[in-house]
Amino acid sequence: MTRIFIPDDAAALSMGADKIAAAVTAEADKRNLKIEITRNGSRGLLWLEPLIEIET
Amino acid sequence: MLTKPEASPDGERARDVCDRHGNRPDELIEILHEVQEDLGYVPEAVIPVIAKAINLSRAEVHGVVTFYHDFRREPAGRHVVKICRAESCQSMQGEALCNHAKASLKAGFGETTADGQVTLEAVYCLGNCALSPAMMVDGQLHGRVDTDRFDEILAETLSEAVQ
Repeated sequence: MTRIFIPDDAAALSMGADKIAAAVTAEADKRNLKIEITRNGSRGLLWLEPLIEIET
Repeated sequence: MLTKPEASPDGERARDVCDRHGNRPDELIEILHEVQEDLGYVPEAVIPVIAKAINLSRAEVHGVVTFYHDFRREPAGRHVVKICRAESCQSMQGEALCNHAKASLKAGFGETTADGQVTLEAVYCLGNCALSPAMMVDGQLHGRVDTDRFDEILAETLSEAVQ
C-alpha cells in the first residue's frame, strides 16, 4: 500500500491539485495498484505547487 | 410609505437572512454576503428591508454596500471572472493578462459580455501571491495565469454544462 500525499490548501488547489488527485486515482485503478491518497495541508512551498509526495 | 419592499420575494428572503443572523447590526456584512449568494446581487429594494430588520439607518446599510466592491448592485452574467490587479500580480505581467481578458471578452472591468455569459471584475489580492498572476472564476482560484492559461480556463468554463 503506497501512501500518496497531495495538498489541498488554496495555493495547491489553484494549481490543479484536485485534478491531479483524480488523475492519480484513475491511473492507480487502471493499473490495479493499491494506493491511499491523503489530502494534506500546505508545506509552505507555495511557488512550487502542485506538489505530490510519495511515501517510500 | 406606499411601497412595501419586505412583501416582495427578494425582501422576504433578505429578512430571513437577517433573522438567521439574529437581526444583529454587527452581522451586516455577513448578511450582505448571504443575500448576494442567495439572490446573486444586492437589490436596491432590500436595503431598507435589511436596515429595518437590524435597526440601522438606510444610509448606513447603503454606505457598507457601496464601499465594498464585492457587493454587486445588479445581477452578474452567468460566470464571474475576477482578475487580481494588486502589486504581486502586477509584477508578474498581470496588466498584460488584464488587457488580454478585456480584449478577449470585449468587456471592461465591471462589465458583462454582450451575451450575458461573463462578468469581468478587478480584485485587489486573492492571497495567492506566490503563484501570481491570480484569477478567480466562479469562486475557483487559479494561479500562474498567463494569457494562454486564461484562454484555456475560459474555454473550459464556457463549455461546462448548465448545472
